[in-house]
Amino acid sequence: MSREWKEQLGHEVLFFDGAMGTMIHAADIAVPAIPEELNIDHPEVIVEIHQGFIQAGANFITTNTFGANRLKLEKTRYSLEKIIAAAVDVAHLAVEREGGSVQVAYDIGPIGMMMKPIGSLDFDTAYEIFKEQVLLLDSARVDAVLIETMTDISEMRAAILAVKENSSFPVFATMSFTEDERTLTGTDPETMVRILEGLNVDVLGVNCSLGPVEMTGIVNRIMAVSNTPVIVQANAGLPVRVEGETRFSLDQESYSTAVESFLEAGVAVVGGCCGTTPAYIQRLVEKGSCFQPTQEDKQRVDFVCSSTKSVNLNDGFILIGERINPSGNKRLKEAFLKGDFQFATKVAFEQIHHGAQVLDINTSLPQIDEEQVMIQLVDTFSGLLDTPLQFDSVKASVLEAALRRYAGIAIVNSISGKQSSMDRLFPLIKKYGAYAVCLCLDENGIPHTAKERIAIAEKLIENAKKYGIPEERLLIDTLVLTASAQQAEVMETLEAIRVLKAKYRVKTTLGVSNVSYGLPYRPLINRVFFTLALGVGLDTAIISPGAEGIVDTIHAFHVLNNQDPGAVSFIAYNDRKQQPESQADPVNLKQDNSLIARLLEGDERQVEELIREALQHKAPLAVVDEELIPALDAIGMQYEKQEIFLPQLIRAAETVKGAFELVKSKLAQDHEDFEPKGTIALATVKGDIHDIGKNLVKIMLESYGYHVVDLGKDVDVEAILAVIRKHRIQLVGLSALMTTTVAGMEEIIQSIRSEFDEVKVMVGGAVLTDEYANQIGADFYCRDARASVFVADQVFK
Amino acid sequence: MQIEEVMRYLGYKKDHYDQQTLQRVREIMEVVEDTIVPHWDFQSFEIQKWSKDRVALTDLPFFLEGESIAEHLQFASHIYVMAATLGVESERYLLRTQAVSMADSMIVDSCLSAYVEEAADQCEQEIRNLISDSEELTFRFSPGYGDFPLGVHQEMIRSLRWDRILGITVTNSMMMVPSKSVIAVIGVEKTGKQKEQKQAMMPCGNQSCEVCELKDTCNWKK
Repeated sequence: MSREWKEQLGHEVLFFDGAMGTMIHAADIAVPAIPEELNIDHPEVIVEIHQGFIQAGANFITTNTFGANRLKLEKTRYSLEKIIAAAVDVAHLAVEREGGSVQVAYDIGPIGMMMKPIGSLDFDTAYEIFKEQVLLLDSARVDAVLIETMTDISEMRAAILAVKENSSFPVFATMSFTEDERTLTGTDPETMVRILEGLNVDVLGVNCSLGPVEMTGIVNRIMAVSNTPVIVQANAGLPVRVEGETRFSLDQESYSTAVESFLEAGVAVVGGCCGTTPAYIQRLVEKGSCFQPTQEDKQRVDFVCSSTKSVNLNDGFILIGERINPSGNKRLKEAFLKGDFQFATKVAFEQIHHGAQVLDINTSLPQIDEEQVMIQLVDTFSGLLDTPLQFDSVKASVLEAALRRYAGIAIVNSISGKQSSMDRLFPLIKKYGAYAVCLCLDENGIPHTAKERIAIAEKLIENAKKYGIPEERLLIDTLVLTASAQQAEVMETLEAIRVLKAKYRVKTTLGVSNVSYGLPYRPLINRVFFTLALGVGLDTAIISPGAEGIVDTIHAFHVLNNQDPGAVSFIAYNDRKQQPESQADPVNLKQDNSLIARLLEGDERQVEELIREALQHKAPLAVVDEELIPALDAIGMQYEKQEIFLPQLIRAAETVKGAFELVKSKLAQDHEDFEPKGTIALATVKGDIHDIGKNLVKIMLESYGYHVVDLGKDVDVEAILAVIRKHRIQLVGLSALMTTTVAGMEEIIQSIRSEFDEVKVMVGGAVLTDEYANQIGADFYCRDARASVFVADQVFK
Repeated sequence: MQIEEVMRYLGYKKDHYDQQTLQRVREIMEVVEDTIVPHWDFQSFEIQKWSKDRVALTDLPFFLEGESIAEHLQFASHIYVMAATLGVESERYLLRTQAVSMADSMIVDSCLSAYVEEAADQCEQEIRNLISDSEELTFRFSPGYGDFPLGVHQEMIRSLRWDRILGITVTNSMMMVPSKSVIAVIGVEKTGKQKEQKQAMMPCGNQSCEVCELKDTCNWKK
């Protein structure tokens, strides 16, 4: 099979075929639910479709395998292997019949399920599903793989990695956008380009969903940033319904005219999508062959990104939040040990609120599986946070696991000048298109002088280059030493930054607060040092965004450094700061200052004040038994009587958490532990991905002093059994929302029964009833979140 | 969005609203309306063959199975199949608030439920605009009502390409993702041909409890 097209790519326009689906529907056969079956049942239909496109002048034909994955083929009587082999066979038959040099592109479409955390499809499963297809391909009979119509960049990444790691096929990768110029899961064209270029695809672009006219903005945005050849496969206009049938708004003449403008802009490969017949492709070939794709390099701008947001590293100082690190955060450490990732999410939001533009994540704790927790955090944050991430670990395996799953361009923290570190980590940086924090230390430790640190930085730059990593992708950390111990060397750090910035296009970073270790009045030292570092050209810093004065300093610096025209941002920021925190609604400022009233209003400050006061004349546990629990009981009664409603009950339960923290810290002062009333495992069962109900139960139980091990949603039975063993659980709460998942609940209860005699099970969820709960063998049915407290009180009395 | 609707989803009785919740609901409704764009799509089909437990449609490679849907479409000359969704952004918003405040997340959940129903209403209105004066629509009948199996979601999504157009997918356990999505079948009947239907709406917006999956546990059925 000829590989000449690779030399043509980017120099001459190449043409793909049009819409397989449209042609199948137009053929004189009943269309099966699984169109891939036609490869076997009606091969002549597919061969003729391919032939039509070859005759029209297409350089590439695409196999009829859009849905040929394990999940979509579940209900077919043919094996995946047979369907894929037949698809490639019919494509080749068409090529043979027509003669000439036509390439066969194997087509991969979306799996058809949503990725985590929104949906239930896990990255590894997605990867395996794609890999299965790739392994069935004969490298002599397939010229390229087209991954198309993807709407989720995370799924796209899984597909690309599956192709690249299991074959040497060139990869064409196209995503589908909506009119608001984002994919259905929120990725914009520039971010797509960055992530796909990060994975070194051969051709990237856009297909489906829109006609060429509506696509113009998207194509222009892609062309403005892509240094990779671009492919466009537009629909034949917008769908219109004529007598109950879907047709498309453009004829071949207006379609090809619209596509011509893409070729003028330098697009390298064009073809068609929904609605485009051989006639469209033929007109496209006639009009488009004379164009020449553009080869000029776009100016390199450095961005890190999540799937939905890019952050420009060349545009002013970037603040990297350091607080997701268990070594400096006791509560986070506890949460990690408990397997609770909600707290980390809270810390993430707090840092973003304070102005963090990138978040550093470190999950190293001796008692936990660092890699597992890192993976879970990346999954939890994906699709939740816009903010790009920086992965922080000394273990290459942890960094690779994070980079592999992360649907974005991340920063790796960190690589040192030790040869072993560079050899291990630079290949990862290259493979995943990441950025790297590079530490100016090597086998001999941290050098004293700026000159020596610069020499290590230069070694890092040289080594990166060997792997094809440009220096712009390095964030050199010239290392901050503490002024209390090594006062003479503080300025060396800054001098090294100044020299590196003048000589190279690298970026720089520092862990600023190290400078003040061991000194009093640390914030002041930090702030002045930070200001000096900004002055010599510091690009990023890893720091606590809420730390005193840091964000203030950045805003002021941007004014002085001519980066905030008219000081607009600076003034707006400070005006905002001057405004007092909004007062509670005056309606609520009534005389009733009881704990109950304050809890119902969710007034955390007032509640904590009341508890602090109580703690002065009562023992901590008496405060719980005589103040907190009776208040919650009274609120519960109001709820029973329908004087208040669920949101108020939950608000009260959430507000009481802060009070419990006070009690706990008072106990800690007296060297006592807070003994929870009991430990309860909660899970939303396998298949169920909605866990609001379960989370409400959790809040209620915690407010009453129970310790909850939260297994999350979509939990399989093994995980539940493991937690029962590990924590010696006596009470398990299971939640299911749908009739389809209640069956799974019954199986879980049976498994629990067969292993543990003493463990009680309570169940709840929208479709459950007392009777139903009984039928599936549960011990208790909880009508609502509050009922779980009664059950727990009964079990742990 | 009607605030009363949201409060009802939250389980409130009328005249028992509290100021705090009301205020939060107002704020969250505003965020939802500002940041989340509902999308919908519909398509009409001819009924190829009607029997009392299955309806076959022309040009669709699957059946509408079950007595409930057959009864629902008994007098229909043709039908519309529709889907409305709030998209992935609604799920993200829900997840984000859950991480910060469960009380807020309940409110977000209720606002989104009200909002997707409103989107479905708008979609239905577009359909209504297409039918003639001598025709009327049945109410929206969704998979999961009565014995109309949930499994048909998957087949409708694939055949009507709603995964591509609207981003609606289904999990193995047949839950729709994004969860704030509505798929329904609407029949078109000659006016007056419609058999006696309970005109009084249930508080949830459905016209009958009989077909509802939540009929035993529903809060509103009081």
